[in-house]
Amino acid sequence: MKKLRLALHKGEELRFLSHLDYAQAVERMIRRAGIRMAYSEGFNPHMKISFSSALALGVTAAAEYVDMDIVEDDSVASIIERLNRVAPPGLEVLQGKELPEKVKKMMAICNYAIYEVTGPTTEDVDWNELLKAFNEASEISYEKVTPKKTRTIDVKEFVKEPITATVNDGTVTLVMGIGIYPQGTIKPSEVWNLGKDAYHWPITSHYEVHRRAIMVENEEGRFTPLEINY
Amino acid sequence: MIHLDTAWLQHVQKPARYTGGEWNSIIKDHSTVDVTMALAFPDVYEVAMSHLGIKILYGLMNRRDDVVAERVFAPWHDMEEEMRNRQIPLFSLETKTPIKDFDILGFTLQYEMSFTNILNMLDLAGIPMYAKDRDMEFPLLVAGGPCAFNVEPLADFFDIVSLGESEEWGDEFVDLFKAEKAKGFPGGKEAFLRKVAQIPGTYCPALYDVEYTESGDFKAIHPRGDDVPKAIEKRIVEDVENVYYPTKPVVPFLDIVHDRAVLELFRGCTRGCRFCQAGMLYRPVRERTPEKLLEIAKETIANTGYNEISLMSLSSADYSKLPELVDLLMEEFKDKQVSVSLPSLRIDSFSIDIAKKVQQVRKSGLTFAPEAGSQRMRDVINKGVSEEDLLAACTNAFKSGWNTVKLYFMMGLPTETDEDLAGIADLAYKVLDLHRDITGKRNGSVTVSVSFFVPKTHSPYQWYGQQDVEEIHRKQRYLKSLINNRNISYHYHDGYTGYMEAAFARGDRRLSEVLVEAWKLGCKFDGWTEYFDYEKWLQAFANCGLDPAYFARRTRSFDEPLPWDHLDSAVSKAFLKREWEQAVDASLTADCRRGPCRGCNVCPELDTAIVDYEEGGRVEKVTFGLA
Repeated sequence: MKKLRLALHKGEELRFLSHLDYAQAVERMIRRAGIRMAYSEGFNPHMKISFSSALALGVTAAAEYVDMDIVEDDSVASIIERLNRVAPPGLEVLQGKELPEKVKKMMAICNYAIYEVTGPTTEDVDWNELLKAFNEASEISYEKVTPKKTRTIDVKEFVKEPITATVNDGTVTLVMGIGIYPQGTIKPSEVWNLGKDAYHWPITSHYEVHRRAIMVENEEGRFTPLEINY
Repeated sequence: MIHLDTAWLQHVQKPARYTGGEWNSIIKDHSTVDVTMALAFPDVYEVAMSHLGIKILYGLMNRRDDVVAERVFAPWHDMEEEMRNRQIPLFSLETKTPIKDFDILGFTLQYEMSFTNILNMLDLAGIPMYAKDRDMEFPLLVAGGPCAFNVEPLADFFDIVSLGESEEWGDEFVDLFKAEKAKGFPGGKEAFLRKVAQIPGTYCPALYDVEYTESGDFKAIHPRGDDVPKAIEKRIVEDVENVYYPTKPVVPFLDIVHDRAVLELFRGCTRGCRFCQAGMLYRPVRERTPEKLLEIAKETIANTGYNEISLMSLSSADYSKLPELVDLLMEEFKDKQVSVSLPSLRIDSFSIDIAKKVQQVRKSGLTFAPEAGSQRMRDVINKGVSEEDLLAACTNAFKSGWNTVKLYFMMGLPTETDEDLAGIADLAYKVLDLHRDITGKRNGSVTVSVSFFVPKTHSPYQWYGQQDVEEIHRKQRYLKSLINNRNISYHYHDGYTGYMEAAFARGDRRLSEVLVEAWKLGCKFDGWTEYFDYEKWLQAFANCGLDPAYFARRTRSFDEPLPWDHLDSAVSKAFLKREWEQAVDASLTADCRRGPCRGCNVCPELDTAIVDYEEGGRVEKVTFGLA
C-alpha cells in the first residue's frame, strides 16, 4: 500500500458542488482512471481517501488536497496523468507526492486558509484608509448564526492579519487570511457581510469566493500540505 | 448563450441542477450540425436524470455528427422565481442556449401529474403553448413515452407524437427533418407534418378533427386527408440485442434518485397483470444475452466510475438467464468494489436466493408487491401469486437475516370488497408472525404501502370507472383500524391526486384547456404532494365547464368509441375485453412466454416474436389476435 497526497484544482465549472458532491466526483474520477484503491472493511466498504477541508458550495479553490491509499505500484506522475485523462471540466490534478504510511488527518492539521472575495463596489474609496478600522481593532464581536444556535464570537481571533483590497474596474477583491481552529472559524462571506454592515465598506451582497490557499501553520511558519511530511 | 451570475445563483437550492458540465455530457458547436434538439423531462433534475429513456435518446442523437441534443429539466420553484425576475428564458444545460432557439423540443411523458410542468416550461421558454400559434420559427414540439398512448389531453400543444420505442423512429424523423430543413420547409409546418405522418409510429394531432355527440361524448376522430393514417401503430425495436445502448451516460454531480449504472435486461413483460399499462404497451418480451449485458456493464462502469449497477426491466427476476448473468457480473466486478442491485423482486424463494447473492449489505429491506390482499382479488388482477409464494419468499429472507419487509398494495380495484382489504392487514400480520417464529425475535418490521388504483388506457381496465375518492378515504380508514401493531407501519396517500391522474389518463382533447386553466391558477409539480392543490384543479375544471368525474369515474361501455382508440398498442381490443371478463370471473390468464399464445395480437400484428434465451432465442410459435 502506498499513500499519496495530491493537489486538486476546484475550478469555476465545479463552483456549485457541495463538499460531498465534490468528494463523490473525485472518487468517480479515481474509479474511471482504474486506480486500485484501498477500501475500508465491512459491509459497506469505503474508498480510503480524505480531504484537507470541506469546501463549501459556491467556493472555488486554487488547490484542495486529498490523501489516498492505493494498492498498486505506479509513479505519482503516472497516477496524475491517468486521473487527468478522466477528470471532469473544472477538476485538475496539479501535483502530488508520496507520503509515509502514517500521517495525520489533513483536516485536523490544516488550520489556515487564504480567501479572495470579489464583488462590485458602490463608490470609489481609499480602501487602505477604509480597512484600517477593521484591521486595527483589537476585538470585533460578531453574532454567528447557524441553523442550530446563535453565538457571539471575536472575529479577530480568526482574522489576525490585515485584510487587503485590490480594486479593478468597479469591483473589489478582498484578500483575507482566516484561521481554522478547534473552537471554530468564520466564513469569508461572513467577514464580507460584516464589513458591509458594520464598517461601511461600499459593497453589496453580491460576491464570489475563491480560496487561494489552505495551509498548515506551525511554529516554523505556514506550509502547503505538499510541503510537509505528516 | 445565457449567463448565470454566481452572486445570485449560489443562493438557490442546489445550483448544480442548472450548470451542467457533468462527466460524459456532450458539448457541440451548434454551427457545425444540421439539427439542434432539446430533450426535456418535465420534473426536477434529480428525477429527470434518473430516467433511462433520456439517457438512450441523448446518446442516440449525439452519436450522429449532424445532430446536437442537449438536456433541459423543470427548474425548481426558487430557480423559476429568479429566472422570471431576471427575465432569463429556459435554457439547456450543456451550452445554456435558450430553448426557443432549438429546432426540436422533445418531451418524455411519464406521468399525467407532470403535464402542467410542460406548460410551465414552455412559458418559461417563451414558446407559445398551443401548436396552432407556432410556425416553423419555433421549435417543433415532439412527445414520446407511455403517456403518448393517450396524448389527447396534450393534443393541442404537441406537433408530433412518437408511439412506442423510438430508437429507429428517432433516426428516421431526424433524417426527414434535416432534408426538409435544407429545402427551407416548403409548404410550411402543415406540409412538413404531413410528411412526418408517413413515418410509421407517428401521430400528428393537428392533422385530425375530433367529433363529439350532441350530449358531449367523444364520437370519432377523423384524419384530415387520405394521406393521414387513420390509426397509428406503435413501433418496437426487433433486435434489442444490437440496438444502440448508452454506455457513456452523463454522470451527475448531484445525488439523484437512482444514482447508479443501469443495465436494461429485456423489454416487455407478459405476466399479464390486468391493472398494468406497461405490461400491455411494451410487448412482446425481448431479452438481451448475458454476454451482451456483461459487455454493456463493463463499458458503462469503466466510462462512468459508478460503483453500483442496477438490473432494470419491468420484472427483472423474470430474466431467463438471471443466475448466469449475476454470476458473470459478480465475477467481473468482485475485485472492483462494484455492487449489483435488483430494484424489484418477484415473490418467490428463487428471487431471495438471487438477492442473497448480490446483496452484501443486509440492513436494507426487501420489497414485494402482492398488489392485493386476498387470493380472490389477486386472481381478479391476474397477479398469479399466492399467499404461500409470499410466505415462502419471506421464510427464505428471514432465515437469511433480513428483518424488514415492505409490501405494496393497491386499493380501489374492480370488484373489491372490505374483505379483500382485510386480507392486506391479514397478510401483514402473517409476515410479522412468520418473522417471530423463524428468528425468535421481536425486531421484525413490515411496511404496508397502499396506493389508489388509477385505471389506464390500453389495459383491460380501460373501461372501468375509478372508485369515488370519499369511498377510498373510507377504505383507508377501515384498513387503518385493522392495523394496530407498532411493528407494522401503514402508508397511504390522499386520494385526490389519484383522482386527477385518472381524469387525465383517460381524458380527451377538451382537457387541454383544463391544463392551461390549472397552470394559470398556479398548478405545477402536481406529482409532489406538497405542491398538489386539489381546490385549484376543481376550479380549473369548473372554469372549463367540465367535470373530472366524467373522465375518471364513468364506466365506459365496450361499444363506446374511446378517444385513444386510434393510438394503437397492437394489443387487440377484443383481447382486453376478454381479460376484463376473465377478471370479473377471477379467472387467470397464464403468461404466454413459455406457453401457448393467449391472443393479445402483438406478435402477428407487428410481425415479430418473443425473444427468450431459455427458449433458445427467438420463439417461433403460432400466434394470433382475438378479434
